[in-house]
Order: sequence, then structure tokens, then C-alpha cells
Amino acid sequence: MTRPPTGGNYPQSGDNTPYNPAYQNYGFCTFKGTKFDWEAGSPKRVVQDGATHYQGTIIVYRQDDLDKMFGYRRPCTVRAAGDPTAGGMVYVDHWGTDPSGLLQLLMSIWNPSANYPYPTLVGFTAILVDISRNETMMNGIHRADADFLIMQNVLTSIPPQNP
Amino acid sequence: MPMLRRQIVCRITIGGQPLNQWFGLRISNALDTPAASAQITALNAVGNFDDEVVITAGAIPGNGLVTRFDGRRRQVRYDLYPRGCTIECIGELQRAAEFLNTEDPIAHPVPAPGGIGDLVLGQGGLRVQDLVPDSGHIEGTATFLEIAQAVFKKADVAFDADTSECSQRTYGSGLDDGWRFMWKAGTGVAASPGRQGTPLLQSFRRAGESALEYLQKYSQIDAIYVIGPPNKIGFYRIFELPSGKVVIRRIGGHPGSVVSTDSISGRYFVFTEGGSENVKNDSGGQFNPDPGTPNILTANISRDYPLGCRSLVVGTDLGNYQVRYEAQSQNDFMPAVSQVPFVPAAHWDPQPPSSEWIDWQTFSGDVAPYNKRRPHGLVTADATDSDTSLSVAEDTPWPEAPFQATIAETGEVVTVNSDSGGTWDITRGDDPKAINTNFNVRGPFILWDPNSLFGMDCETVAKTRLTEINRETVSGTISIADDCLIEIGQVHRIQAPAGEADRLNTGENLWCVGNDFEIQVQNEAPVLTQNPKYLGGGEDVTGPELGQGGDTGSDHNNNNTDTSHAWTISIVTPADGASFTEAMDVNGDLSMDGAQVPTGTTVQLVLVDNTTSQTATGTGSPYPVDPDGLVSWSGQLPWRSDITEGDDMSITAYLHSPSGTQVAQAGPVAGVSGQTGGSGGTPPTTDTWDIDFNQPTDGDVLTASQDVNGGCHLNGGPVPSDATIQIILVDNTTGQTATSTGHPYPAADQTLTEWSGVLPWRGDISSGDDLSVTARLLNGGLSVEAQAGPVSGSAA
Repeated sequence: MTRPPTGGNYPQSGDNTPYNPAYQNYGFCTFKGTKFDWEAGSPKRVVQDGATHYQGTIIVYRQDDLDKMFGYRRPCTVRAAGDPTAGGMVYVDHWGTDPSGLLQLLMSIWNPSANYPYPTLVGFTAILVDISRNETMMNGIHRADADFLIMQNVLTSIPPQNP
Repeated sequence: MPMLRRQIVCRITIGGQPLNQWFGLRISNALDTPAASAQITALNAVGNFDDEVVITAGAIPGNGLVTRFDGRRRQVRYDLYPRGCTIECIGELQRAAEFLNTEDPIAHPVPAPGGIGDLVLGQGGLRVQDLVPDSGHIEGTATFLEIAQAVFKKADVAFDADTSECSQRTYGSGLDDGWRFMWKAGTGVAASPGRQGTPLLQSFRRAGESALEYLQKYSQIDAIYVIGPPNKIGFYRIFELPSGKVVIRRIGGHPGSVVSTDSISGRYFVFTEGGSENVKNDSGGQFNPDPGTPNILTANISRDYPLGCRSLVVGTDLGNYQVRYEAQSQNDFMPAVSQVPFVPAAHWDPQPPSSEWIDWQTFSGDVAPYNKRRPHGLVTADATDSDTSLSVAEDTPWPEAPFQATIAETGEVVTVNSDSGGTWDITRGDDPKAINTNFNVRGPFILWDPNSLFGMDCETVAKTRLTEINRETVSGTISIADDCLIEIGQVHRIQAPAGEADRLNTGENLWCVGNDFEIQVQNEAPVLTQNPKYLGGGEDVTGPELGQGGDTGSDHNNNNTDTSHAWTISIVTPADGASFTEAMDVNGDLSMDGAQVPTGTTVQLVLVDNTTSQTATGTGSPYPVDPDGLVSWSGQLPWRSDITEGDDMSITAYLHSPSGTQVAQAGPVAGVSGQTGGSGGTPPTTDTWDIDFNQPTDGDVLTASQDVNGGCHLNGGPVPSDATIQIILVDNTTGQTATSTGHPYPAADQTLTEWSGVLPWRGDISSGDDLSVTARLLNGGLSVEAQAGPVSGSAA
């Protein structure tokens, strides 16, 4: 039996029971149904070319999940029209079919009635635009650097431009 | 910010085979380059030279797979590292540039003296009559469109004649029987009546003229100049569409007021800059998505000083007369100038489109000697050297028999005794030879009706050209991610949100004169970008001579039509006879099928100053009225800075459907200019101008080139140096007129109180004709301020 390495904010079961994450399908977050967790301090929210990214190191507990995550990788080009502060169109170009999927993140959401942050699953539509392998640790847990592009205010058609 | 996730799609075929491994492509097309081109960067080159290359590409959502290029494969460049090759492709029009004419219907080898090889003599190439033998126009002439169709057919270039246009003038005739309009084949020219031949020893075969080079000569002069509204001004330019088809369409002056629409999606070509956080809607938010979500990635627009305000276009040389016309106007920086030596500022057109193919001097065909022409026709049946009957096409009006005609190919001069429906009874010449079908026959010089619309005139070309130089030249390029199907000649609107001009200082329509379409691959992801190039006329700076209201140019790119509804518009304010003032409110009612109009409906306002014949345009907008919706409109009265108090004016409102089609009209409502307020207004003039004649005097005998002079004053003193005198001669016997220009010159006291000029004349004035002369004093803006005469006399 192994435990998650110390020093990281790896998830632990509620009663602090040791477990082997390499064999248990573990992780509080999912992308297209594949579970993972963020390493401590991750993810960073970055706004680039008018689009929001969640970037950071993820922990994937199973090799086949890591393979799936690499399969989800779909590079995209993101460009914003003109001055990004002025509310222009943001174009996300990609090859092939729709690369986006549901990204569920466990986030601390402040609960005003309890006056305490509650861990809450929040869903986004996102594209895994980049992932690169970082490290496979002794216990079989995988670390990878991931870049999720968050799709917000997505239009289904080109907005009209009237003279 | 709104986000558009797009699937980029692209398919490249070379010689019918798909190209799968490629890293990037770029398609370029511009009006100032001979043809479209494409570069494809791939791992391996496929196909062979001259294989057809078709590139379809686009985005979803968007236009999807649309043909962006259809041309031919040419050069391939290979790189060692990183490995790759670039496949260069050319557009269809380039094939016209590479096609050299070799056809000469009567070319024949001539043994060279001394045995130094065969020489070739013929007529020099193909005339218009050879290219378009059945044009049906006067004297076998043909329009630019008909000639282009024939030339492109020979060059095997896909030409879309159905959507092309031209001035409808016909070319290919004149005093020299149209030899000027030859598509050169590189053959020597055999001497013929009225035409000098090539010296025999220089009659070796040379390279012919390319199809594109030949047609560009027509494109340079084929122009239209019609003052509306709507104005139709511009030259007819040859260019290529993304589909690979070649077209000829009108471009020139100021872009039209109707924004073009995408032929695939129907979207307006409106590109909005996202430049400023300060431009916000009424709620304090950004404009989204209507009237325009910023969709310009980057842009660069420049506004340039006008090129000039005077264009001298020289036409054909008639031997004893040089056909020409000088159009001039003025702008804020370049006043109208005269040829008086002490006025130094003369802003001439640096590259006037002069051409020996321009037949006439003025639009009305005022150059009399050129009325003489030789009819031309083709023999329709063979005749032996003894036949006295000849069948000739009857399209050309022949003179009444008897007359003499020349068989061009043999040089035989026959006498036509009678003409019965195309069958001539002839008396053969001194050295009769067999006459074959399609031989050329030319009649004697006869007088033609000068009102026939054939040949181009210097006046039309010069005035059209003036609209291209006397303007604030707006040029630039933008970069967009939109996959709309951009074509040269479209009218695009470049604006900030809400149609304002912001960082780019551009809130106006511009001509699209080129486009680069590219898909690059960066970090394995596609990047679809288009870089349209633009040209515009800025604010209307043309002076009084031209006076268009800025509404010129092409209208063929309006792909939408909407005439299936009943549209109405009325003007409520101002009422008939009202006092017109600057920025006054103009309003009225409108409807579609008896109810409110749809969003996107616009109102165009055209103000006409009937006193000066100048126009100004503006726009109005429908606004909602409870409970009926958009059933009323309002706007501001368009205005001009040169309107003076008391001018007769009228206002007309044109209703445009959302597709841009003009669907209804209200007015004109007449009124009088009440005040000329505003900083740009010109104060009412109280100047007194006068002009008189010293000579000629009533009853004089008038001769060509005789001096005409008199006195001219402004408020009793000298006139300004930019004043000119228009001298008009009327031949009351024939009803014809001629004009010339006189100038003030310093009198003894060194002030401009006298003027002189040369009496205008016409070649068809006969001795004893009843003539009269009038002199008009024009100010610097070329407005008539005073008139002297008419003085009557008789022709010497």
C-alpha cells in the first residue's frame, strides 16, 4: 500500500485511510470523464489573446487515463480582434471535429451562510490545447503539464455586422 | 468577449489528386498585379507543370469549403532543412499574359532577297473586325467586352462575360480603318492603301503581343462618366475572382454607398475595429453583436495628399489635329489653375491615361474632321477574277451607289454600280483577282453621324481619371480571421463600433483592390487569415466642375435583391417650399407591406443645390414608434460648404432594404437655402463681376484663330488670377458649337482687368455661316460669374 507523496496537496480519503491511487480510479476533477487532480498551487488562471486558460500540473493516477488525456489534446489557435480590452471577437481555430468537452474542477466556493468555503464541482466547456508529460513518480502516479482553454460566451454562428 | 470556435477545412487538388501533407498556403490577388497566385508549402511536390490546382477552404461556422483559387501549377522550390517544398501556382489571368498572338489572317512568306531566309508579310495581326467578325456594331467595331471575350477564348482563359461589364463604347475603327487596334502577331505589314508597310528586310517574324497586354490597353481607356445620382464613374478593370474566372468590372472614383455582401452567406462586408474602450453603447457596454462586434485583427490605413487636380488626356493624332481634353477641378490644397505663366501651382496628373486608341476629343464628338470614316465589310461568297457580282455583309451602312470600294487583301479597286440587299453589281479594277469569302472590303471616306456611340473620347477619360487623382487617397490593409469570400471590386465598410471612426480614423466604404488568403499551421493548429487591401476616396474633395456627392462606383456586387415587398417612404419635414438650413432635422414615414420595416433598413438622403448643380448625401435611420414599431425615420439634412443663402434646393430620400437594394423614393421636396450657418459655410457673396468684348464686334467677319479680347472686372477692379474666360462660338447655320478658353492678362497698370483668347472654330463651318460669340467669366471655382455677348458675325 502506498500513500500519496508528502509535500503535495494530493487528495486523501475522508478518514485518512491509506489507498493505492494507481489502482483506484481516483481524482476529484475530470475532463471528458477522465479523472485527475491538480498539483498544489495549480491551476493558474491565465487570460491570453482574450481567452481564459487554466494551466498547471495535473496528477493522473492511471496510465490509461494519461493515455486518454494525451488523446484529448487538440492544439488550437486563439486570436482576439483588435484591442482585447475592447470586447472584440475571439477566434479559436482547430482542425477536425469539435475538440471541446466537459471540464469539471473541484473549486472552493465561498458559502456565505456557513461563512466557509465549500469544495464544489464546477463545470466548464474546455479544450485541452496542450499537455506534456512531466514525471512518473515511483508510486506510478503521473504528473503532466496541461493547458485547458475555457470556452466562454461561445457563439454558434458569426454575429451580423450591419452597415 | 464573444468567442467563435471554428473548424478550419481545406482541400487542395493538383491535377485532380488531393494534396494531403502540406504546412501552409497563401493565395494572393490584387488589382495591380497581373494575376492571382498561390504558394503551397508541402512535404512533397505532386502533379506536373500546368496541372490544374484547385484550393477550397473555409471555416465552420462560416462559409465552409469554398473555392479560393483555381489556377495552374508552375514552379516548385525545394528546401533542404527544414525539409519542404513550395509549389507556386498561377491564376488563370496569368495564362492570358503568357499567350502571345501569332494569328495574322493574310500572313504569307516572302522570299528574302539574297536568300537570307523567309520573311513574313501580312496585316500585322488581328484587327477588331477579325476578332469579332459578327459584332453587329457600326463599321465592324466591338465593345471592350466583346473583344475581351474573343481574346480570352483564343487564349483559353475562363472569362465570365455574364457578370462582366464595359462602357458599351465600340472600338476598332477610325480614319485608319482601325489599324491602331491591332492585336499584334509579330508579322510584317504589307503596304496597302492609306497604310505604310514594314520595310521588306525588317519583315521577319517577331513575338506577338500578349492577350493581357492587348486587353489592358482597352482597360486603360474604357471609362464611364455619368453624374447621377446615382453616379456611374470609373474605368473597367480586368481581374480574377477566387473561382478562377476572369471578369471586367468598373472601379473608380469614390466607392459606392452600398456595402457589398458575401455571395455565400449574404453577410455584409463590414469590418469593425475593436480599438477603444471609450466607444460604448447607451448602456455603457461594448457593442455586441449589433451593430458590429469588433472583428479586425490588425489594420493599417493611410490617408494621402491628392495626386493632382488636372488631367490632360491625349488621344489619337489626326495628322493635322491632336485630339485631347484637359479636365481640371480643385481641392482644399490645389486650387484650380490657369495656364497663365505667373500662376505657378499646376498639379497635373503624373500618369494620364493617354492613348492613341481614344478616337474623339469630347463626349459630344466635337472634332469635325474625325466624322470622316470608311465603311468596312466582309465578302460573304467567293468570286472569281471575272465575276461582276459580289456578296458583301450589309451590317455597315454603305454609301449610295455608285461608289468605289477596295478589296483589302488584293488591293483591287472596284466600282459598285448598284447594291441590292448585299449583292453588288461591280465593275472590276485594272488587275482583277479572285475574291474569297471573308476578304475585307472598304468603302470611300464618308461622313458619319457623330452621335453614334462608338469610340472613346478624351473628355470621358480625363474626367474619370480626375476622380482618381483629385481625392484624398485612402489606402491600407486589414487583417481578419473571417472566412468570407472576398473579391476585388467589392465595397467594404471599415469602421469602429457604431460606424464611428476611431483609432483607424476610418468610418467609410472602401474598394477592395486585393486580398491575401492564407492558412498557416502553427504548433499543429491552423490559422486562417485574410488580408484585404483597400482603396478609397476619402471625403469628396472634387470641385465644382465634377461635383459628385461621393456616391460613385460599382453596384454590381450587391448580391441581395429584395423587391418582393411593397415599400413606401415619405418626407414629412421639410415641407415643400421650406427654408433649408444646415443640420436641420429631416424626417418622415416608411413602411414595408403596410407595417414596420425590418431592422437594417436605411434611408439615403440626397440634397441637390439646383443653383450650383452640386449634391450632398447623408443618411437617415428608422426609429420605433409605439405601438407600430419602425414606421418613421429621421436624419439630418446633408449640406455643402459652398451653399449660399437663397440657393434653390431639393431633398430626396431613398429607402434601402436591409440587403442594400433601393426599394422606394420620396421627394424631391424643394426649398430655399435659409442660412449658411456652420464654420464650413461660405458667406453670401456680394461681389460684382463683369466682362465685355473689345473685339469682335457685332457684324464682324469672323475667321479661325482670330484674337478675341475685352475687359473683365471684379467689383470694378482686377479679377483674381485664377479667373478664366470661356469663349463659346455658335454656328447658327448648322447648330454646332465650339469652345475655347481665354485668360485675364495684366493691363498697363499691371492689374488683371483685361482678357484675351483665340476664337474657337470648327472644321465644318462654311463661308457665310451665321456665327455668334459669347464670353463667360468664370471664378476660380469655375462657376460662371458674368457673361458678355453674344456678338454676331459671319464666317469668312
